[in-house]
Amino acid sequence: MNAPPGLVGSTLAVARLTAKRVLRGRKLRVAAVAAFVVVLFPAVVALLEDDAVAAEVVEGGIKWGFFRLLVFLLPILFASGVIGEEVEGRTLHFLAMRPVSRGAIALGKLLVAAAASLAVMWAALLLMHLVSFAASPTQMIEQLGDTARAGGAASLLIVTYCGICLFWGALVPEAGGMVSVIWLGFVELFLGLMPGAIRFASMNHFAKELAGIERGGFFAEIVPDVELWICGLVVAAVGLLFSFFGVLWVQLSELRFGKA
Amino acid sequence: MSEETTEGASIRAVRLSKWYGKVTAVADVSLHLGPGIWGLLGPNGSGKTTFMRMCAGQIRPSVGKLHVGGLPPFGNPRVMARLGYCPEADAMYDELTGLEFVSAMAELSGFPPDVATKRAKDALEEFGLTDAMNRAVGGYSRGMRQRAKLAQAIVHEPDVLLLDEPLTGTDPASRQQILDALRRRAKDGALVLFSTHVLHEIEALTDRLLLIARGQVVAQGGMQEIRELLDEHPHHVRVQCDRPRDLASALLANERGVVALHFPAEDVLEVHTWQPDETYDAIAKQVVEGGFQLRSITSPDATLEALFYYLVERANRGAGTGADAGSGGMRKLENKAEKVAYEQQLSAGGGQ
Repeated sequence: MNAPPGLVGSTLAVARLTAKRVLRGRKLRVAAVAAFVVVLFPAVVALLEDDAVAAEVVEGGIKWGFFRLLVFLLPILFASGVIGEEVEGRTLHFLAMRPVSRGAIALGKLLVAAAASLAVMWAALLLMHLVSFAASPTQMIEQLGDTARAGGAASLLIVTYCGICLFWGALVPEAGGMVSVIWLGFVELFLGLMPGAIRFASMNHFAKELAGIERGGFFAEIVPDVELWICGLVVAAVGLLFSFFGVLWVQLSELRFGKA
Repeated sequence: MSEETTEGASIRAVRLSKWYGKVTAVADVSLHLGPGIWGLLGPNGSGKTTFMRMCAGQIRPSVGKLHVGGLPPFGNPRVMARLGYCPEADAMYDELTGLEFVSAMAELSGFPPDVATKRAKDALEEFGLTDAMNRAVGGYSRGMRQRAKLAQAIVHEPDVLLLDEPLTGTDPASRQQILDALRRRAKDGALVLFSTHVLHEIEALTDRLLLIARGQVVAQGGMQEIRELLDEHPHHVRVQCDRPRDLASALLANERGVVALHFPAEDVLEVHTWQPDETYDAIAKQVVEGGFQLRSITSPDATLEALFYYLVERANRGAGTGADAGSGGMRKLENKAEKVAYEQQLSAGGGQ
């Protein structure tokens, strides 16, 4: 017998196992195709237009393709089923029977889900940037800062959404994807378009502020301004909170083992 | 003993129950298992898997105490380090190769990657999977998957092994390989709890049995005692012939062991008897002498399952609950009064 591994060791071991599965699974391919389709249209249009229009097209691509599509799609794809798939597939026994805490299992899976989502998002973002400004190297360098800023904000949002999806996936393993879609669709997308302070329920709103994207939605002009550092803090805090409770739930619950 | 004190390979349950809503999966089980191989026998749905999952720390008991190696198992890494579990479900990580799968399990048990790989290779070799270890598990046959699951259960050298129907889908050669591996571990001081609903699977492996039915441990003891119970409990003999009521009259006139008679169908006679051998002889004799057209003679309850239900009936009448089975060992129908009571119950319950 061996001494049980510590939290970091267990989390990394779970993450390695999960990463191997993700790399060989279908989800990564689905995500890659979706991301490619999202960047293809704005990238080609920007390439064919002059410099001024190209910058606007890229901004539109980031706003619609990334903040209204990919930031939702990728966490739902990679994070909402991490516990439910193991429970429904009856493979969670293999992990839960090891001398690692259940919290470490959830944490390792969350890490991989976030890493896979970020990898696909950044690959798509850089591809769009490179193709859009391929005809103008000067513009490519000048606009790099804005693109990186948008990428940073989208990254924070994606990690937060992964935490939200993990939470709902752990709480309702048999329908984690569905509940995550409903939550993100209503709270993040719908409320994120509402007027006034209602919009503050949506982390999507704060992340777009961080990214420097022009506000859209209903009566955007009456939405109160918030300092950027507060926007970042709120998004990070909400992500940590959902992740913490998701991990805690996995640690404490029976996870439908009795009925599996 | 303190709750946090470890002990040798053991499983100790005290008035252990588990229910889901109104469904009782395990009811009031008390037992103490030490090193060696234990067969956990019971029909499908009897509570074997729930009991195993509680021992494996995957679900909490609803009431009662359960200790594995002296510690409560639910979510306890110290217990998991000593446990190997082979689940019943034929589910695995199909994207991984056999070697990757078992190595990952060893890593999760705390071994560094290089040591984990070495251990995984040894474990796979022990179950005859060396040639297939670099193939994806998704392409394995049912028997190979079963062996890979067993390899992951032993890769960290646990001293308590919980095996839920481990021989399902295996061919005779790999079955022998598995049984040899389990015997070696038991010889080294491990506790192996082996669940099955097939009596002969366990016969080749151990003489120590737990019989579980409807969530209760209805008997605990050796194979010989199980056999005696099988011989001793009232048998049903089902005869399909052209004139079942005439055959019943002839049997009642000549056969003293008959307890009750039923006619579940137009051409079927069911005989309950304490003396199955004599009853079979008497039926054969009557068939020849009375000129009956016999279609079949079967014994629907000459099985372990029938024994379970008989024991459960007995347990319900207060003659041996899980608790006393655990503490007192195998109980039998110990006196004539008990047999007579059972006969009376059968007669009152529908003898025609």
